[in-house]
Amino acid sequence: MTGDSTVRVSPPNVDDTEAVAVCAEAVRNADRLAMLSCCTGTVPAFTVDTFRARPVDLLDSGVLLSRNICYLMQQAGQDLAPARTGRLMRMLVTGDRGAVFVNEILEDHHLVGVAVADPAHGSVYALTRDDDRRTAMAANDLRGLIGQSPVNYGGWMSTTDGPASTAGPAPAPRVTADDPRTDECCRASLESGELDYVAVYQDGRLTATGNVLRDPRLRRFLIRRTPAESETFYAHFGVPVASQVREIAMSVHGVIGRRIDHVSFDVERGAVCYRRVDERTYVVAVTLDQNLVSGCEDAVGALAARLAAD
Amino acid sequence: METSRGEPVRTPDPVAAAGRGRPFIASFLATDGQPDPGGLAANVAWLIAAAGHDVLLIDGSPRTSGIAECLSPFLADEALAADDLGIEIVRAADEESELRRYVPAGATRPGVLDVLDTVGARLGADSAGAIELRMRLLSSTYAFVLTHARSANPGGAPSESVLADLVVLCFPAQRREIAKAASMALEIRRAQPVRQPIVAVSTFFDDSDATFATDHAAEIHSVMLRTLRGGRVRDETIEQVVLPGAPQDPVVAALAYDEDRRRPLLAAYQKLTAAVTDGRVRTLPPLAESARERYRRMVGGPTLSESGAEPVEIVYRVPDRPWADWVRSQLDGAGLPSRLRCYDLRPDGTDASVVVVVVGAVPISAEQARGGMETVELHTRPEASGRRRGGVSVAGCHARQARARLLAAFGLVGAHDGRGDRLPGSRRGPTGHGASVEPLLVDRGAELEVLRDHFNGSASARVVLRGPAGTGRSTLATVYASRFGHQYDVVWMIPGHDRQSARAALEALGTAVGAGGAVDAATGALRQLADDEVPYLLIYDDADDLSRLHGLLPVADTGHVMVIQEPGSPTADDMTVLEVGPLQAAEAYEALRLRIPDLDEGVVAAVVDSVGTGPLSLRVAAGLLAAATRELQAAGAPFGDASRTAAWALASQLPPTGPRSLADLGRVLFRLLEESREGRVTATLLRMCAYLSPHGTALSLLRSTAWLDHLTEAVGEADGDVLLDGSEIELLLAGTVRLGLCDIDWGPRARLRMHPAIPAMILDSIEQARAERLRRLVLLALAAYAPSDAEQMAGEGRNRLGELGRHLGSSGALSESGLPAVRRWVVSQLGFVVTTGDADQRAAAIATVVELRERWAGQDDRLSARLAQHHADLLRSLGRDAEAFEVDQAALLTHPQVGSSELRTVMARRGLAGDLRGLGRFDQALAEDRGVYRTLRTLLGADHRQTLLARHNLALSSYLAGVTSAAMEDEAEIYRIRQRLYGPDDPLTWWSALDLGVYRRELGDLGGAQHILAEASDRLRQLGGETHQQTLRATAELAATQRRAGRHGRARDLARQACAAYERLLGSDSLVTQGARLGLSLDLARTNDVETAVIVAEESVRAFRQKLGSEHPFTAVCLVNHAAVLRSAGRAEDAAEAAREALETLTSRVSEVHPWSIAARINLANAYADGGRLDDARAVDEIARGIALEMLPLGHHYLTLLSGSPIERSPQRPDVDIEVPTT
Repeated sequence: MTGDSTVRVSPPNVDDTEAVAVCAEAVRNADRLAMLSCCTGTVPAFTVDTFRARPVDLLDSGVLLSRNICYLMQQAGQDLAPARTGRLMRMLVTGDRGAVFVNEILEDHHLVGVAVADPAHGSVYALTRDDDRRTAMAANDLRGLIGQSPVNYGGWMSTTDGPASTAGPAPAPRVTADDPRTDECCRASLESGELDYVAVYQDGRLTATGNVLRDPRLRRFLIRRTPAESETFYAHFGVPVASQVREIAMSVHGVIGRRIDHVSFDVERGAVCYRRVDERTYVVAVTLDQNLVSGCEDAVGALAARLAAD
Repeated sequence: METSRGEPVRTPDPVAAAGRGRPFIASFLATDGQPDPGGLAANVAWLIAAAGHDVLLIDGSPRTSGIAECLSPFLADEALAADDLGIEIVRAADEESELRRYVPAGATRPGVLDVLDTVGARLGADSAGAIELRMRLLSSTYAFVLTHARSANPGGAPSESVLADLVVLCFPAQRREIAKAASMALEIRRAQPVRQPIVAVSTFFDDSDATFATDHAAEIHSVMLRTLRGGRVRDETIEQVVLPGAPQDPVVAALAYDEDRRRPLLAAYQKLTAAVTDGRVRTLPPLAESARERYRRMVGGPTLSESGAEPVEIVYRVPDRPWADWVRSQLDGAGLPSRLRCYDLRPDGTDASVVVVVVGAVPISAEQARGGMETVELHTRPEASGRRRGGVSVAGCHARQARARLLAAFGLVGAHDGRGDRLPGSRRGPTGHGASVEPLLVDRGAELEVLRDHFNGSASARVVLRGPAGTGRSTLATVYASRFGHQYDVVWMIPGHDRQSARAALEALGTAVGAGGAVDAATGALRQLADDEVPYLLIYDDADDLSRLHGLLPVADTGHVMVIQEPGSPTADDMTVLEVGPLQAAEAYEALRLRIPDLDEGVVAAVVDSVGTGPLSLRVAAGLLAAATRELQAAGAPFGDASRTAAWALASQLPPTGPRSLADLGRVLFRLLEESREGRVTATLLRMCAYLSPHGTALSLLRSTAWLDHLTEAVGEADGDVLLDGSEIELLLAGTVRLGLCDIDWGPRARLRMHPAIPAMILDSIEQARAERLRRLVLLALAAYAPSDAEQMAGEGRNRLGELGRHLGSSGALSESGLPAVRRWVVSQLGFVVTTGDADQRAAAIATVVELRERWAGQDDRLSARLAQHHADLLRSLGRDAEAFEVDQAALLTHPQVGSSELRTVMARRGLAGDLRGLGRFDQALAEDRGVYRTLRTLLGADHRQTLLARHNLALSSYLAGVTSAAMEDEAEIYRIRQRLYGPDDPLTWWSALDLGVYRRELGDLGGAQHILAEASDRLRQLGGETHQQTLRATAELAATQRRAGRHGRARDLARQACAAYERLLGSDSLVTQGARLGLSLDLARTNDVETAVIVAEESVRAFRQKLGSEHPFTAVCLVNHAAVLRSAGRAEDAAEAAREALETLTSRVSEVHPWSIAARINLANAYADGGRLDDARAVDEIARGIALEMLPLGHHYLTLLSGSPIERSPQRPDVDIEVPTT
């Protein structure tokens, strides 16, 4: 036990007190982070939470959520492997009442964070961004405990002084869309430089797609993949994402709500993001630059908002 | 002797053999005005045969003559083969011809009467042919040959005149026919190379006026003579017979008429017979009055049973009781009363006037016929029939033929009522005796007779054979089963010493009678026997405690049951007790002689005096005596001396006074065995076998390397080289049988068995320390024979575990905790019960596991962890999910390899997931199954059997948790892998296909679901049969798919079919049956049988509430469907109540976003709308739509419904239904 009556540790007699302390500290310092669960495989080794101090004690649901989300992350990692952008090391799931963050500490070891937010106070996505960052920091602290160097989960550790590309000016985005407004929205998103690929799906059908994958500045991220291959892969990946998101929703709805607004599949080099536009429509966006993952997540939200505004 | 077709070889007729040495041939000819002379020829032939001569009557009549009709009551054999009768050449003349055999009933020692029916073909149609035919007939062994033809060749001499030694010319006593006959006589005379006699038979002769009759006869004679003279033939002699009355009456006159009343007719037959036999049969043969009586009634009098005819007495020896019963049954069928007399028990003579003597296994030498007594000997064995002349042989006959032969001897062919009958020795249905019947069995006449009398004539009876062990109770039962097995469709031996063994035997019976697909094959077998109303015999051996067999005894008032018990054992009220004690002295002598035939009287008496008359003691004594005698013979002593010496030695080694126990005999026997190297090895083998189940050990175990290695170790170095050649075990095994200690069934499922009293006898001959060493070696041998864990995980070695399970108790394996290999075997064995055992076996295994876990409490190792896992598996398999969950959880805490790749931990988690599914905690089950599958896929690969099983569980949990698309993806992959690895002949491939079809259907792909379910249904039907549970499930799922497609008529038909089959297979209490019935209720409701639908649905809901509780998600699913049925019945309020309850339960148990909850909301909204509560309906519908839009895939049935018009504008919106799943 941490001594703090609002933070509970389960099971109470965990040997790895340092790891528990790291997690308890993170939970204590974060606004909405209600639970951190350290899982081996799909089984939590320990969990720290503050659910007991909230109106509803959701520990059991949170633990169950942790177990399921670890499995689903592993499944998603397999699906993303053909993209050759590295291991899936983080997942962000934002629902209508909270968010789930999964960070891979080591292979088969994950730190799962759950933040609970009241949508009345604003965008749940925005309200839980700091909890996401804190969870990533806790994951890196846990890595440090076992002598591992930090990982740039979610691009939270990005700096702006990285090596600049010398590949020349960015080419114009290649966009095809069913309607000019969508075309315009997609094009604007791509031109912002935070998204390298976008696709819009409506009723399971690809209605718009655009990318800047042929930008010479992105060549360094495409390892053994041509831009065309990547474009095809993401276009296909986007179709079953809806089904994956429903599967995720079935596992997390009890804690963060049944409507899933955002999902990030954060790999070693970039991320693939799902963003709900409305009941029939969603966006899939990609960045290949790990430093820009956080910005990509924000940008896809902005794109979805623009599309929804129509 | 008999022919290859079971026909008796005819011994040469004494007249033919001793007289002229050739048959006398007489031809019956008739004018074309003669109505039918066949009856006339038949009567004459019958009389000749009744007088003891063999007769062949060739019926060449162009149309059906009176011969067959006249002789029909005596027809013993139709279509008799002629090959061995010396007339094959005759027969070859026309392939269409038929040879029949008749038996003159009532005659003392009749000959045979064979009739060759040429079906109208004229044999020897010209003179040359006739001469050739005559030569052939003369070579036959008949005493007399009669030929019968309708008339002579038109315009020429009849060829028969050349063929015969005598011609009988028949004609009506009418002027015109007399003239024709005279002309025929003339032609015959002219054609004859030598002058054979002619007998002129005037039929329809009026003898009412003696004067007229004399004149008329003289006139006929005169006409004949005149004609012959006019024809200028030299020999004008002709004998004349006048036959009063109409010869066409199809009766045998000698039986039908009183001599006093029809003297002229009988006198005419006597005269004619004398003429035809050339004077050798001058008088009518004596016939039993009883036979006359029967015949008269047969041809027109009252039936025998009505007339109160005197019973026929059937005399037999004990082994021939089955035949005696058969005779009685046949006579009864023909309306002839009868009674039985066992000659062994009542050897005194009889006062009956008609006796059937069954001559079979043991001849009846002292039964002498009295004067006037009609005796029929029934020969049941081939060797017996060849020795005697006369009698009826039924050896080798089929049932109909045997019946005809018996009834022919009574002149009753045709009188039988046609009831089915079974010949002794014939086998009708499945037989599971346990041990094959030992040939060396002493008949225990008195007991067998009582037993048979008790069972005979009653469709249901129960008898207890009660007596001390070793008195031959089981043998008595086995002999009964063997001897009277033909009376039963099923004969089955069931070990009654423990419930599991009894169940196993009944399950095997279930498979044999086609009830193998039932969930409880044991009780299914008993139910099927009762339902089919077939005659059966079940023998419960060693069933001292009937309470152990509760529910495993047959349905009351059906079949025959024998229960073998020790004295003092309780019996049921409807059981008759038959006490079985030691053998009688004579029986004991016979028992010894059967084993050692050449023993002289003195030795036999001495041995019986030494060991008593207990069958088991005698058997062991015989084995001992034979072994000792062989030893002495090998040393040069002649048999007599050797056996006498051995008997003396035996007597001298037994206690001088007081009762000699089996153990005493055993000690003498093992002392003898210890004297030779082979003997010592045999003794060691026997001692090791004493730790195996006395109810049988597979020879495959005793021949295994595991067993032989440990046997060699037990024998020790000095003698062990005997076993260097592994085939020596065959000699050793055969030696154990010679010693009388074991029986071996050498058939395809070869087993060695011991009498249950033998192991104790064997172990009594050895000191404690040595016995313990042997027991440990036996345990190690058995453990080594068990399949490895890897083999088990791959599904191999099941037969070996099946065998080893029998020896758990007898070997003491359950109390052994010091040998890890033995513990491993025990754990494997208990795990085996999980997958193969029935409910009883699993319950018993749970008790064993609990005991073992207590005993192994200090051994906190992997074996203990595995045992805990099996404990939970066993509990779960019995539906005790909550207990299983507790055990699994406790085990995971005790063995906390949580999250590691420890395979057993993963297995435990798989079990835990099963518990959770059973408890309706599907989300938790899903979390467990996801972890299990992921770990196994990592450790073993995606194709491994265990991974596939885990993935199947995962798909099921996903479906139950509402993630149907993931379930479908996983199951589709499993199906693809199974197709690739195991192909279409593996039932598991189609099991997977069934689930895939269900998931497709639930996601709205009705076409895809129908396609794969139909294919799975066809394949499962081919692989497992119509009644296999998976086949039935396929039918039920097809019904659900048709229902979903709106084809309610077709759905109803399929659902009915599935429900009926489920009820037969699983019973109506089964939730699987009730789930299918709920589906049927939906179809009934939608095909306008609403009233029935409501009743059926209510019954199903009640069953689910009762078994799972109201809070279980499956009960809520039933309520969703129930609501739909109630709405169809116009009961909107009740429908709303059911849907509301379902929604509450589902929301709390499986979440509001689960598709089932959405379904409940849809039906609730519909019910509200029907009841006019439109606001409520709209509110519920709105929530449902919101959830469905987020959680259901495009195209989902519910989404389509909810996306349609607002509910207030679609009053007829259909309800949705859910197929009740299983876990």
